[in-house]
Amino acid sequence: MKLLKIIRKNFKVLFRSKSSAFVVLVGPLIIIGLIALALSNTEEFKIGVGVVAEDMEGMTEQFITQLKDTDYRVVEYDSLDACIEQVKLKSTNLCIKFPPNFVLDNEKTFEVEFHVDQSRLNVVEAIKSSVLSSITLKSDEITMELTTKLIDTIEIANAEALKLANILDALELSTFNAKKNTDIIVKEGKNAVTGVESSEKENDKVVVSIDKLNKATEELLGDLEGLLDSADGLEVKPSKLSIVGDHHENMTDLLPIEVGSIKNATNKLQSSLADLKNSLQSEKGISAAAEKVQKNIDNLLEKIADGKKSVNSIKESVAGIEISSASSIVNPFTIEVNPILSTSNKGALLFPYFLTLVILFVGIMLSSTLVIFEKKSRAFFRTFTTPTSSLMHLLASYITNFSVLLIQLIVVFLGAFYYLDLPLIENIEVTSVMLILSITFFISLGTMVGYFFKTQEGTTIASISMGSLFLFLSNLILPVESFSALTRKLMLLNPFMLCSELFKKTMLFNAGFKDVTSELFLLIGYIIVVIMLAIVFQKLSFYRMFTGSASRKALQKPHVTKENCLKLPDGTLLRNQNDLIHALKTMKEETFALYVTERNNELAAWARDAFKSRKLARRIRKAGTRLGVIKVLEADAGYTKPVEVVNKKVVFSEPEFKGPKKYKGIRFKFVVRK
Amino acid sequence: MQKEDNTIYHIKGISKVFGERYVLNDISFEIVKGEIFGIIGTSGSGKSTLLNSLVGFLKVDIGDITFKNPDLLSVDEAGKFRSIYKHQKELKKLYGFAAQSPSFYPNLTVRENLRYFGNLYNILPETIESNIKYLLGLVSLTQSQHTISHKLSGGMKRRLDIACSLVHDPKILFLDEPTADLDPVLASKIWNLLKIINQRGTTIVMATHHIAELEHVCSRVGIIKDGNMVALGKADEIKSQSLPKERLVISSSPGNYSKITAALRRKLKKSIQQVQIRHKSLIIHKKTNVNIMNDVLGVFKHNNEKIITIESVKPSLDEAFVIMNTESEEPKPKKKRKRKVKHKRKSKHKKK
Repeated sequence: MKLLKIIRKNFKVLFRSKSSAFVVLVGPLIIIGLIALALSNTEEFKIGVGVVAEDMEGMTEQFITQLKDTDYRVVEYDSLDACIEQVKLKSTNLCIKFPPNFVLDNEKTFEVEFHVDQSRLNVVEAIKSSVLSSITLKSDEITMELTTKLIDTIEIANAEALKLANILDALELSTFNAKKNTDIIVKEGKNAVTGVESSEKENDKVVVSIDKLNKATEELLGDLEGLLDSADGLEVKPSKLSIVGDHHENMTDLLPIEVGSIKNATNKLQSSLADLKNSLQSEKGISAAAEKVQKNIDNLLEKIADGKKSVNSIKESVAGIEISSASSIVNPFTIEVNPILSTSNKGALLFPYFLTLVILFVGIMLSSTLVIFEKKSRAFFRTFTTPTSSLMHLLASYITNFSVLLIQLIVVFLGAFYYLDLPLIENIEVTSVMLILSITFFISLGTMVGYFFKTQEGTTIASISMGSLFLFLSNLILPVESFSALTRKLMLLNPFMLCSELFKKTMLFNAGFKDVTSELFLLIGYIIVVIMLAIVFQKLSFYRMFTGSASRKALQKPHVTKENCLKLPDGTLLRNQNDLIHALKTMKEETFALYVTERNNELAAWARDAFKSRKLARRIRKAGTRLGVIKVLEADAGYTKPVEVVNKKVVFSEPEFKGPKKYKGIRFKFVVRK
Repeated sequence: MQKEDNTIYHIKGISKVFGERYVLNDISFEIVKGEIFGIIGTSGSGKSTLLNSLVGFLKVDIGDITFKNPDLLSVDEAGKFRSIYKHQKELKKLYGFAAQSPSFYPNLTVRENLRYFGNLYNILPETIESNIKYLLGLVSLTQSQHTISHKLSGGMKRRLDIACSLVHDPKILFLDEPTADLDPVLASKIWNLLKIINQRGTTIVMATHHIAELEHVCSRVGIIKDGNMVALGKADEIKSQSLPKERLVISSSPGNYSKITAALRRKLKKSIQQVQIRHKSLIIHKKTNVNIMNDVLGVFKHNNEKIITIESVKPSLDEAFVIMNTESEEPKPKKKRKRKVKHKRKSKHKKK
């Protein structure tokens, strides 16, 4: 009941003050607005790409279209300087300069220039790689097109080689038949020569055989012509892949030679056949002509065998091309990036960080503001006079802050759900515990800050500085992953990083309690430490409220001026230890009693503050009497002959000053020169 | 025996040290039920420290402070004095405290402040409401009960602060400088208010340096100087102990006062404490209550002085306080005179 009354009062105090109402209401709205702006995908927030090109044709046009299709904001500039100027002014994120006459050419290599602002450490690499990947995509597309053409040509050549092999087989068969016929002709020719009459029938048979052979030879010549045409059609295309190049070279080198030699042999055969035919008609020299034909056929068979060998070699080479797909040649291997998260929503990925950011700033600032309001109102004093425990006030303050922050987080979640299209909390049990713990930590931290500092200004500056420091030393600003292992470990102790990583694990990866045990215990440890400190600082605040002002008043030494000089009753001002020694030597006991009483030793207090020496103050307090104090002061100042008592009379030594042996930690050595 | 029963606070030889300095030095006194006890002292004399020590805000280094709750039903318990440090919770229910600067929430209304502080004392809501109603009437803030506190005037703030201290109907009310920063009219209202509160049965302990009013309001007064209680008792008792009983203010013609002063000091050495020359008048501080008028007039007549006015003035507590605070600070006049004489002699020698 009492707790509720205190919470109710806290709400009234918070909302009736303009500054705290601003922190409570407007602060989170600003953060939500910033998040919404940062994550929205409207035209204004696209990456701006400046483009400089002398002509917008050929490959340049293709690349620009590709950039536009990839949703970049493409701005065309007349000169590179103008474009770079815009990069400096941040209206464009980077500049691309395309070369003039940017077309595919066997002889030329073109250079596409990128100009980036490397001072934007956190985004430059992202922008560069994003635009570069878009450009590379287009470049791959062109390479793919060229490689496809090359592969098609090789396939055609392969088919033609197969055809040639068939023709050569047929030719071989025909030649064997021709050989058979020639053998018959030679045999029959011999018979005629040896007196055996040759019949007309036999002559006709030989003529038919010769015609068949002639026809086959003509067909072979036609095929050879076609094969040579195919070989000529194989263009020499630049290719970055040697495997295709090598096979291509083999084919283009072998085919014309082999086919040419077969053609020659066939031509020779054809002319021999014509001679044979003429010989038959004249019936003279048949035998010699037939033998010549036989020889030519043998020669032809040899050449055909060589041709078959070459064609087989071509076939083997083409079959030896392991990669025959254009896409495999362009990208021999593909990289597949598989997201471990089901969502690709940028907002959802960043949400844990922004959530921690809201809790961090609002938690610290809200709780510290509430505490400082309490302290400044002086009602803090009255609260202390009541029989209500200070822990009850601390608890009420925590519940008030927690409630306000929870309401704000509900607004943040709803805003994220409706405007950023983010899913509401998944893994609600673990995430809720994390939310409670992180809110508790940052509220306790703010409470501690509020009790530690005396003014609202101090508290606000401390809260903002602390929040900024946590934020700066996190992976939201710094590339923590690139730091050394030790630094990374240390930075993981940063409460902001700790909480944001916990949220990430629980909200995005649906981690359970077991998965985050170490982080959870660390956060709980932090909470315990901060709560303990908050309690200590609260007690200290109460103590300072009474003791601080009272002791300040009390310790105002009545005889010490603002300039920290000791004032004597006659108005003389003592400024240092020597002044005090001389004054004490002439001082009357009654005057000394003004400064040193049984319970109050103003000289010791002055020595402590003015000479910054607690040790000397302690000795003066111990000395008690005037002579004792003089002795202590002289010994401390380095006088060689301190005060002495001779014949019951006090004798003060001459101030033979050798200087202090040690002053403010520096040891002095005095050397006497003779 | 009766007095012993009414004592609610025992302060036994308390001392408080800050650093090298004794802010309170061996102070002992008692607070009796129903009285208004005034603690007087200059700034920094230790009166606020004493007040804060009485309620346990500051822990004393030497001595002990005990209290008795007169409303405890058990006779055995009622008679026992308890340490204020060991029984803070019980003590806090017993007293109300109004500090030098008003202590309430500026963003809450007058009524909200009273209700809130009432709630912190575990009192029934009905009791709180009736207390608030009564207190608003008492401190004349009924009309302003729904006003946000920081919009109140200085006097109203002070009254609200006192009302906040009384919302749980405490038996003792501690006030630190209740009329600080207030004009005489508002201060007078506060004094009247305190009298009324006291008449209701609340014991009041207050620290102030506005002594003139205290003399008329307080039942007993303690004067603190440099952490020491230099005087304690009723205002009249203190005045009779530490002040000349009466002083005579005489103006005469031709007004050769230095000659008359010397003559008075010679003739009435035993009866006169001090003779001062101020604003063409001679002020004679008496040591005793013996009538010295005839002797004084005789001195004037002997020195051919014609009396113009003669006035017999009774001393105030204010003056007693001033004298007590200036006495030891100034070097004793006798010694001064001797030193001057010596100097004069020296200078005469030098001239010679």
